[in-house]
Amino acid sequence: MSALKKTDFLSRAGLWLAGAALIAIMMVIVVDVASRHLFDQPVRGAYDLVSIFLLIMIFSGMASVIAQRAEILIDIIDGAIPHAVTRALKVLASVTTVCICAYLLWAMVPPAMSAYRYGDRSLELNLPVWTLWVFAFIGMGALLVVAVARALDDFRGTGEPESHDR
Amino acid sequence: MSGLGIGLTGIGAMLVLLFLRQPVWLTLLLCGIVGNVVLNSGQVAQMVAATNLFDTSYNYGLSVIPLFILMGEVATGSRMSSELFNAARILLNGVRGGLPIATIAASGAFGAICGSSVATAAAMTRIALPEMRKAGYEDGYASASIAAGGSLGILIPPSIILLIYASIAELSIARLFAASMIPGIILMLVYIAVAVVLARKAQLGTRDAPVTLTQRFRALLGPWQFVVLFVVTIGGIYAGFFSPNEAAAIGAFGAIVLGVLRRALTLETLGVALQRSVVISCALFMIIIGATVFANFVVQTRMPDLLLASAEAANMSTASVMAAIILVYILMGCFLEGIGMVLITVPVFLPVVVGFGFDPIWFGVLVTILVELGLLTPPVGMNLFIIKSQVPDMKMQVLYRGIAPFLIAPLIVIALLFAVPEIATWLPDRLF
Repeated sequence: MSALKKTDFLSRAGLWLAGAALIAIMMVIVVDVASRHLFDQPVRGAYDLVSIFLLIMIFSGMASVIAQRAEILIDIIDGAIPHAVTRALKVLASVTTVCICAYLLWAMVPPAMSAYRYGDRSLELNLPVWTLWVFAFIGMGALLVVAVARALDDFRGTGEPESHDR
Repeated sequence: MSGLGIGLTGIGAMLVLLFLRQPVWLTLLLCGIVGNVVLNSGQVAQMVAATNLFDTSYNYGLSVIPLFILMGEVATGSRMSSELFNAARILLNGVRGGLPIATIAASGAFGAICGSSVATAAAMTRIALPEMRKAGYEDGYASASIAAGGSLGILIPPSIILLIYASIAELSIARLFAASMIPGIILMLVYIAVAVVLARKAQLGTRDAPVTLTQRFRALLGPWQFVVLFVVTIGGIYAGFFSPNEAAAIGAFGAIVLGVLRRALTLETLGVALQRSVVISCALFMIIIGATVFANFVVQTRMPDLLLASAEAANMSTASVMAAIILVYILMGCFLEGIGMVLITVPVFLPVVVGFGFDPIWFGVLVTILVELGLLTPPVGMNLFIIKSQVPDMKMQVLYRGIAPFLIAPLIVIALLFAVPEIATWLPDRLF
């Protein structure tokens, strides 16, 4: 069984959460517009809610991008280089992804701590900003786990081909 | 090393990594972080990366991107593109090159609710290519008309490229959408003109079966749901009823409601559309995050200012500066993917272009047309690849040969943009 398969539940759960967040973004705006035009009463905190759901969507959905190998890349040299070189470049990309994800997770600590320490709050709903950083950490953690699994698969040669269907 | 030297090294490293098939988001982020470490310190690089990651994700304005993508995915899932093509096909029955014209017109119309060239080309390949093959059109010509028509998706609003350009250049999305409308329609007409000129040689088969006036009238009423969506979303922005974010949300909601009412959208297809929207949006956001970190590095090198100063010191004329920039875009378009190209180049070129007195809104339209050209130019013409991936029996040489005459159309519109800039600036000035 490939390592990526073992982390499938993580990317799937993230994908559904991200989908729910996207629907929530749409509904908050639709209700806000309807309420404003029909009853002259905008939804309180709509701006904050949309921003929060967008953050949840992005941090929950990024693991799926890695799991589905849906990143945009330029594969023009594929036909011109030996298969082994292509595989080596693929492993390089996977390993670099792990390094960058780990770096970002580490880099997120000081601003999150500072948001907690100084009690930063969101504009409309007055929510503590550190709670949003918690979502960011969970999403980035899941992304790192999936990235490690993909790197392992690529290293062992058990990975699936990239998706270039967009 | 000077700031310019560090900047150029960073851009060079980025291009090398891109050609070594490293993902665009990763390359931009890596070069941005390393560049920041070299210019400042590890601590600054860490702060820039983390805050850009958070701020880009927690940004109300950028919610417009996944919402328009959702609208396009739902429209594709509920077969709106095939209804548009059928309507155009019946209306243009009997006209020379009727099917390719119908394909280009339906692509332009579908682009007006989809926003993605690749999605438009993919949908139209499935729908229009079998029909054109049946009607006896040459493969190269038929697929080129699909690729060319599909590329209209990123110029006719809503356009994902324009949304991304607006976020980098900090410009009004509504003004950019208004600016691209007339050039988009002109480009569609020029593509149609090319298709008509080529049709005589390219159709080897029989003529269409006759169609009655009643059938034509029915066909005209067929894609009513597309008209509703376009009027509500883009019309709502132009009329000042909605902001672009609101229009995108209402468009996505409307597409779902219309799909369900017409029984063209099941829970399963909605789920697929939702998942695809999330993955496409997150892949785009990863690139945007990488690009903001990279742009932060480029701005700190003062490279755009130095380029502008060098161009002025060398007494370069406005025309030669713009010619050089266009040449860079055309060359990059032959190899790079469109969104990455915009994110990499706009932070460098926009200050230079504005410094030479050009309108940034006008430049946004120009960049979008150049990206569109890049979707069609060999060897890496994304729309050609999309067709090839769905029709494996078609040779790339056939596609390359077929697309060549269509490449004249974007070049004509670019020349028009220079000769009459008002085709991009008039509508936003009138509306806002």
